[in-house]
Amino acid sequence: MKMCRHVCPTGQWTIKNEGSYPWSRGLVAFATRSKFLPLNASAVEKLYQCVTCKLCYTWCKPEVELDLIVEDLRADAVQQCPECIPGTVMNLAGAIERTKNILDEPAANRMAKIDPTLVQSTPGAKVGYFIGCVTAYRTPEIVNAILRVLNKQGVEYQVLGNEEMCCGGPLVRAGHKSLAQQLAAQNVAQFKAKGIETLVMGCPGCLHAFGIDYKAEFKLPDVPKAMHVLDFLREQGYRPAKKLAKAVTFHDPCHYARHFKQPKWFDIPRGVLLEMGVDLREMTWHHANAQCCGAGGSLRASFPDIAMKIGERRINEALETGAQYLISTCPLCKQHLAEAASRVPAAKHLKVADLFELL
Amino acid sequence: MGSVELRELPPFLEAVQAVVGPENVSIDEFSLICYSRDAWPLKLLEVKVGIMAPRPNAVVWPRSTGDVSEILKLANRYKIPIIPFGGGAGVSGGIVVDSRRGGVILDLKKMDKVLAIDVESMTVTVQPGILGYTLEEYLNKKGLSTCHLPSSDYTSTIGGFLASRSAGALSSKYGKIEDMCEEIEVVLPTGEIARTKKVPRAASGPDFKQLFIGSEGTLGVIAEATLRIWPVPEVRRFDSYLFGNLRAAITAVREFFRHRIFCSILRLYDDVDARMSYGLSDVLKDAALLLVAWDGDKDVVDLEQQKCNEISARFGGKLMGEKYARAWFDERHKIYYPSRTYEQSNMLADTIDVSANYDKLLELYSSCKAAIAKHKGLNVMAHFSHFYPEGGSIYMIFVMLGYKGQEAIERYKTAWKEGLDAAIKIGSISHHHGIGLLKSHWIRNELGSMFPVLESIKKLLDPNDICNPGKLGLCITLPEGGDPWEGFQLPDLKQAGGGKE
Repeated sequence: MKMCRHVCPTGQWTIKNEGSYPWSRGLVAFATRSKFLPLNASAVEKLYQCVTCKLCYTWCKPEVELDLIVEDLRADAVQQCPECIPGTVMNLAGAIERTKNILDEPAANRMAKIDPTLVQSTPGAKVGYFIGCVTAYRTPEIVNAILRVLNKQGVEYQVLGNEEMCCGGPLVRAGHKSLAQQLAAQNVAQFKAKGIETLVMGCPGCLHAFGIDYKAEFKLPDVPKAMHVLDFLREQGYRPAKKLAKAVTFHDPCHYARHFKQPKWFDIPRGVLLEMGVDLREMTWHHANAQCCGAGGSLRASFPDIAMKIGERRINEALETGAQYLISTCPLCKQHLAEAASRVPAAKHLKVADLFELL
Repeated sequence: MGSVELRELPPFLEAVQAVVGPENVSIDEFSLICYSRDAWPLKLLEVKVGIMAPRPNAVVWPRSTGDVSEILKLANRYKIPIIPFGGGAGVSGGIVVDSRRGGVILDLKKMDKVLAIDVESMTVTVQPGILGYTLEEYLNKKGLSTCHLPSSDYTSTIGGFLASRSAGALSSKYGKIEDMCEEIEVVLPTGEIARTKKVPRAASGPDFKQLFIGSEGTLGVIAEATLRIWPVPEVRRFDSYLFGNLRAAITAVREFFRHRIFCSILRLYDDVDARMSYGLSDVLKDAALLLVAWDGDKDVVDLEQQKCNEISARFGGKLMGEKYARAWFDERHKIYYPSRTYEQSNMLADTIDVSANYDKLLELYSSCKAAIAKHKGLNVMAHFSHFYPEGGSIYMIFVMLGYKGQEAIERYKTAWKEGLDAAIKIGSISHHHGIGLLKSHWIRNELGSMFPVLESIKKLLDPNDICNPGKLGLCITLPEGGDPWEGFQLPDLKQAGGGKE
């Protein structure tokens, strides 16, 4: 027990409260499901202090998937003890019900910040590019960058535009599983109606939803094949045209290779960077051991201060490499790390970007 | 709320908040539950039937030696017991609150910095809350190492190592933690700060470091320490030998030392443990498997290995290759993980770590084994985990299969009682796991004529019995006969809702 303590971004790197480590979340699960202890505010707080990065799993010899246990217990808490849950997390459900996105932004504005000249959507195309809530509303520059590459590669794709709804992944992470399941069914029906067979996306959070939650959790049939858009492009033979002779370090998104248990995926974005001629430098915690940016598992909503401390720590890790660029392939990681960098004076010249913005 | 009401707790916590800030004081219910136990297997067995360990009353996080000093002064003013807490990785209940006194946890994990490295003298100075693994990684990047590698180091702290006199995988060459510590800063129970001098050896009175190392938080709080470090060795080479019996193997080990060869790893498995641990199903009855490693420059290691081969051959040792020793070293952390097999089949194993000089070592092994194995359902195997020029330590491992609930708890206690009763007559009841609550009943006999000395020191340094009360058998009356652990837990602590097995 406790042998994953040293890697936990919330327990060990930030909070340092014995109640906020993976083992103690396991204790919450055991004690509350066994009815030894009530699922009360104190216990629920510990559940929401987990960033569900799954780094503890990397170090867990009995292979206990605590992120799944935490998500199950959060679902218990939503049913049994909703008053114990951070308000910002409970609000996610309301946001979805109102606007079909987790940011509570008007649905009609989903495509507002995206360059319409880049959107070459072909109705009925077998490949659907799923944009995602965070990318659409907060990091539209990533959408524009992805569209440029898809267009240049001659990929025939369709986008759902303002009809696109949240993938439901953040709801699963936060414990709103029933609502997520309803949304999932609507999404699958929509994809089927539009003839989408392969769904590509730039957000590993959405990838986790379509690639894992929809099948393993919700057991939905007819889910399109889900791929990160970079993986899809590489399968199509994509090679980067641009060169970048700079020092770059890569931040591995948690909900990509680690959550999917696909170690070969760690080197897909790195392969692209190396083909661009970058001076690739690894942070201390990288690949399967990559530390979280701090935004995952609804932590950015529920405990923003803790989330930001984790982000700042990751920025300092990047600075230790001497890299000029901190690159990821996740819009939430980019958004969070860019914000963290703005709070670290030494990171003034560190460019935080998505890989597609370099292509 | 803790398990014991402390009337002066509110003003104490208010005063502590003024020192460390409100963010470093907590009475959060679930947090207190998590601070109520370490890795003591008895507490895990009890949790499974709904018996939760006594809760502390609060947790405070000091940020510096100065904070610790102020907190202890306040603790004395308000008569609040203080329990220093590192990683909570101990297996003896060293941080479990004495249920008759209650107390406040002093979590040292926010004091986790490397303060200085002196590469000329080869020392590193650290705060107590740094994890062993974190320090080791930090040093490895510079080509250095503490060479103190306990299997728990992902989760245990330098302060915890010092408080319990820990040993690491390489102790046969580099010593235990008490051999590696060059300097220590302690906050005494009444709040004064005391510090030893940073010199390799001296003849200026008693070695005060050794008063506090191993004191398990009863004589003060270790706030800073300087440890010896080493360059990472050019080579660490592994090999193993199979002997016809334990006596031959131990004699060979003794000869290694007599030839001034200090192997970094010396681990000796009896036949049962060799079969269980390494799948060596064809190991004959009474045979013994010796795992060895050598650290150093390649040419020196070549010579040492050659000499050890010659010595081993003289005592019938057959070369088995590096596979077993290397596998053990690479997988050494595995022992600290709960096993899914254990959880699903109600199997529990625990280790009684004992030690003796060579003249009594085999007697210690046989006696402990016989005492435990005579009870139905307790299977015993052993390996000798560390060796020194004058003797070694033994992990007497008992395995219980198929028991659960209260029956498992009783069987567990029986194994420990039998093992410790047997060990105390021949050798030490603890090589490196410490005493904690688990062995407090035995400590008076263990220390014998030195126990009154320890009591006098405790009374002098800690007149109000503030520091980790109830540990090391100090200032408590132990029950005569019956359950040695009775009295350390109130019977009505079982939580509402009943338990299930």
